[in-house]
Order: sequence, then structure tokens, then C-alpha cells
Amino acid sequence: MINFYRRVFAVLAFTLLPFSLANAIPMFSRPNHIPCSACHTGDFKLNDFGELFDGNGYQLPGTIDRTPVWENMIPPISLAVQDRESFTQTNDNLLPSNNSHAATFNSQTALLLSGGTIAPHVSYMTEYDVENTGNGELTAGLEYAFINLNNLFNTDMGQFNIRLGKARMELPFELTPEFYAANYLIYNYPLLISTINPLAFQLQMAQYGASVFGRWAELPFSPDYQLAISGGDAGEVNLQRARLIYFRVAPELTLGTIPTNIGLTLISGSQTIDPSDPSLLDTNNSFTYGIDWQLQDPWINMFTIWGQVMRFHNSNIQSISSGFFQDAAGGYLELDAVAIPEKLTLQARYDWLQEQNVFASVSNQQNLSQVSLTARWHLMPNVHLFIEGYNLTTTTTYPASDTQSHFYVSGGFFFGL
Amino acid sequence: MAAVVVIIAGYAGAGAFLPSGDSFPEQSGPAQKNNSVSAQGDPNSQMNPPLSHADSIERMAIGEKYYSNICSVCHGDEGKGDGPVAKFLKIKPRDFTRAQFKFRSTASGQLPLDEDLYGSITGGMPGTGMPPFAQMDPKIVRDLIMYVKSLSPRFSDPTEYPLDTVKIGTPVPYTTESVRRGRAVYVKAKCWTCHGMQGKGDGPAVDNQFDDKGNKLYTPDLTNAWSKKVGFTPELVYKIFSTGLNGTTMPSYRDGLTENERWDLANYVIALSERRKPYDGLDIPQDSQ
Repeated sequence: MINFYRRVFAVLAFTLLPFSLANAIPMFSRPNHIPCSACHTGDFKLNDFGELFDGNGYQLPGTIDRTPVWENMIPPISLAVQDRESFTQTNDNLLPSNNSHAATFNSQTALLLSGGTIAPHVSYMTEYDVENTGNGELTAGLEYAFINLNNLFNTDMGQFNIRLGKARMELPFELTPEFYAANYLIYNYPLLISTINPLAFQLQMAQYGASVFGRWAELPFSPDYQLAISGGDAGEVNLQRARLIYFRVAPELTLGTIPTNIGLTLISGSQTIDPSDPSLLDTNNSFTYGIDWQLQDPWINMFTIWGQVMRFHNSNIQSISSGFFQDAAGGYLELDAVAIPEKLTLQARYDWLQEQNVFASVSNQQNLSQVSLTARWHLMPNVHLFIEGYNLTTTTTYPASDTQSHFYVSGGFFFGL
Repeated sequence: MAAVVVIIAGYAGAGAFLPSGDSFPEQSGPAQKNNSVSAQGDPNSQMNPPLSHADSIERMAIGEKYYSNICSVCHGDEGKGDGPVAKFLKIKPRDFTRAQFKFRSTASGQLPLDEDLYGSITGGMPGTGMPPFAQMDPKIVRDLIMYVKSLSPRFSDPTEYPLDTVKIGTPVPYTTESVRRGRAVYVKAKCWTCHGMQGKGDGPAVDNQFDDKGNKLYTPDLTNAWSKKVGFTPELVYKIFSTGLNGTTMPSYRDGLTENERWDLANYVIALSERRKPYDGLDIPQDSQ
């Protein structure tokens, strides 16, 4: 633990030195002298302007930046540190011996980010994470790193871009699981049930691959779109034998007076697991589809409602067994409120996921539901305080009916530079 | 202080908007979507070639396209300052339909020049959600200005013209004496009621400041250069004192203070942001101008 803080302090001190005159504005807002809320919603989601900035290759929309980051006076580096203290309680109806509760100082995360323009139409973004997993051990790794070939064909509003590298898929909003304890259940669910790396194809994780994306303002309803091909999140996944094709389109609509984005997502995946014994050759296919929405409150201009429902189907054709399939359906409904602009934001979310898997005529069903609440207080230009709590209830039917509940509440600070 | 009276010129259903500054890259086009276009400018400056009606329509369409895809997320589809991003911002986006622009070269209450709008778009508004679109194609910026002007009927109202532009004149050198005199002006003009005795933006009236739309006004801390939006040089501060900030409680002192008093006050405000000692001025270099 002490080592962790020493390392964080060292990184902080190193990073603070060149930024002492920059009034501590993070990487992209610093050179433009604009507040975080110009691009963010108050937590880490991107607002409409942030989406334009992101879709334009981390350049202001309507412009093609020709100045590479190394010619700027301010280094294109940002640092984020989050620490939280938490209390957890677990109850198990079937096995009371599993009941537990604990108060811990258990989660610290530090991120180092860099991004910006390399050349006209070329930009990059990368994030390196260091995390204390709770038992004093540190994990570190490249969360994502990619190059954008942005504004191709001389457009200047992000109509056509290519992204290469390790990146998250375009979701209804910019996902930052690094800073939340409550997972979005559908983004945590594996899109391909893999025995090699079951975590390789979660939407919450960055994927190796390539994509074409952008916002085509000239088309009716100015749709956002992305078409991506992915090979998973880790090197051990055989790129030739596991792949995912991801497509999302999200037009802008107006329902009455309510500004709305409706998104449609289609994901197709397949993999062949090729063990040393040819008789165990195993092929797995998956298909996922979903619809998402974002509704802006036009009356008091305070609320945003986000939501997405997805349906997953995984089928596994084995040469030696009668087959396996797993279906799941789930989603979330989230209400975000800007209680005080640039000061206080509140979030309430309900997640649910129903899984059913069948193997050799044995069926197991698992239902998860989760309620989470978060409040973030922008204490100072670089510091947020937050409180986050959630309750996750899991009900299973096999081998016996059981209900578990997991209650979690935490508080901490976020520091961004 | 001599004000320059500008003229109106109109032609063929479209008009010219004449720049008065050398740095403004090109004149803007008509302010209206339809007709009866007004123009403004410095009569001593070189008039730019007029636009044909077809060119005006084309440029307006380009401006509208960029506006609806970029600016509208904050300023709203109709320019009312109510785009979806507005709710996240403490300092609300400008309502273009009211045509109340804070940073101008024109007299209090008047419309801005094109070059004022050009400066706001390319320079941004530090500390607010308005970034500097400095690398945007100047032609597109001009088209945007043309479209933004079409969002308010004031720009096509002949009674709004001619515009009375503020002349910068000859600055009073930035000296200890000038800063001392500026401090006296600061007290005399009661700047402290909003900006506080030390300029920290904590005056007794600061909690009751709202703009013409009822949005809370955030008085800048004059001792912190980062909290300023525009007044980074004595010339720019002088300009603010002379024009006032339309739509806010910051008045114009063009009639209330002499030209020299405004220069002294501008020097004092710059001294505050440079953390000079405001009372004895010991840290102010002599004749540093």
C-alpha cells in the first residue's frame, strides 16, 4: 500500500512540474482554456460537444489540426488518480456461511493518458492503468492505445474516420469502468463464451481491431456509426480463430420536443477452439443485438435518460457433445442529473440481466438485478469527491435455488490533471 | 475619445459588413436570410467587393451547416443558448436571438462588428465552454458569422445602424503612477462593489448579479489572469471599460470616466492580474510600457 502511494506521488510530482503554469486543466481542455464540462457531462461521459471532439480525432469540430503535439508548449499528458474506501456486505440465503461484511481501503487507480494530433488527419490516444487490486498487489497495463486516421476525404466534421489499435467499441456513451464499482451488467457480459479467455469479448473492455466510424451530418438524422472488426482484448486470443464484427448506428431524432438519440447495435462473433486433440474441435458462434436511447430533458434542462437493452445468443457446437447454448437478455436504465452545473451531478441506474444456459439438457437460469446511485461533487478544479453505492441481487436455479445479495457503498476522491 | 461613426451600405438584396480592423481577414456578407441587408464599418477602410445574391445564399448555407453541426450543441438549433450541452455549463452559452454580445468594439447596447464576432469564435472565451476555433478555415468562420447574425432580427433592423465604434486612442504608459491613479479610479467608480476591494471578485454586490436572461453572473477575480475571458492587455481592458458588456451588469464608462481615467484603470487591472501591489505599486516597473 505504501509503495503504491509512493509511486502515485512520484508520478504526480513528475507530472505537476511542467504543468505548474497551466492552471491544472486536463490534457485537451488545457490548451483550449475550457472547463471539463465543455465536453463531459459532469461524470466521465462525453456530452454532445465531447462526442464531436472525439469523433473529429481529438480536434475541435470544423477544424483539421495540423500542429503535432510535440510542437505544442504543453505536453499532451494527463494523469488521473482515484481512491476509494468501501463497505461491502454479502448475504447468501442458501449458504449463510458465505455471509460476510467488510470495510476496506481497497481500491486505488491511477491512469496516465496521452493523445492528440500527430499530423493532419492523424491522431492518437492511449491510456496506461495502474491499479491496486485490494490485497496490496499492483496490476498495470495498457488499457487502450490506438491511432485515428480522422477526417478522411478532406471532411472536417468527423464524417469518416478509421481507428486502428486497441479501443473500446462505440457505446451510447464513453464508458469508463476504471472509475466505477458498479458494472454495467450487459457490458460485463461476454459476447463470446470462450474457454480460452472468457473475458476477451466484453464491451467494457478495449478490443484489438480496426473500425470505421464517424458522424455523417449530411445524411438524414445525422447518424453516428461504427463498423468494427475485433480480435479480443488480449494477446493470447488467436486472432485468426476468434473475431467479432460490431456495427452500431445512432441517428438523432426529436420525439416531440425531446432531443433523442436512438442507437441500434448488431454484433456477430465466432471462434474455433482448436485443442491438441482434434476430436475436441469446438466451434462457437454468437449473435447479439440491442437498442439504446438517450433522451434529453427539454423542460428544465437538467436530466438525461440513458438506456440500452441487449439480447445475447451463444451457440456452441461440439463434435463430442450434444451441444450447448446460452441466451441472455438485459439492459439498464439510467437517470443523470446536473444538480449544479460544473459542481454536483447525480446518477441513478437500474441494471438487469437474465442468463439461461443449457448443456446436455440441463438448464440453469441466473437473474441479476442491480440498483446503483452515485453523487459527484466537483470540489476544486482538479478534484472530485464521490459517493457510490449499489446492491446486486443474484438468483440462480441450479443446482439449487439460491439468492445472493451484495451491498456495496464507497466514497473517495478523483484527481485529474 | 473620438468615436467613429460608421455607414450603412446595401445593394442587390445583400449588403457588406465592413471591417474596421486590419487583422480581420475578409469582410462578412449579409446578415439576413432574405433581404434588406445592412452593413457597417469604418468609412476610411477599403470596401471589399460585394457578394452576389447567389454567393450570399451559398455562404449562408455553409454557415448554417457548420452552425447546426457544431455550434448548435451549445447555442441551440435556434440560437437561443439552449443546446443540449448548455445544462452542463456554469456560464451559459450566448443567446444569439437577443444579439447581446459582451465583447465588442461598439458603444454600449449596440451590435458587434463582424471582427468582434470573428475574435470571439477564433479566440474562444477562456474559462467558459467556448473553445478557440483558431484553426477553422477563415472563410467558414465568416460564413458562420453571417448565419449567426441571421438568428436575430436586430442585425437587419436599420435603426440599429450606424454603429458607433470605440477608438483605442493613445494608451497611458503602464507606470507606477498610472496604476496608483487607476486604484483611485477603481474606488471612485465603485468597481469594488462587484469586484471587491482587492479585485478578487468578492464585492458586496457580487451575489446578486444576473444577466439579461436571468443567468447568474460570475464576476471574475481580477487578480487571477486565468479567470479572465478577454482583458489580457491594457488595450483590451480599456475597450471593455469603454463599451461595457452588453446583457450584463458591467456598464460602459465611456461617458462616466475620461479617456485617461479609463487607461489608468486598465493599467491598474493589469497590475492586479500580475499580482503587483495595488496600493504602493512598488513592483510596477517604471515606464514598462
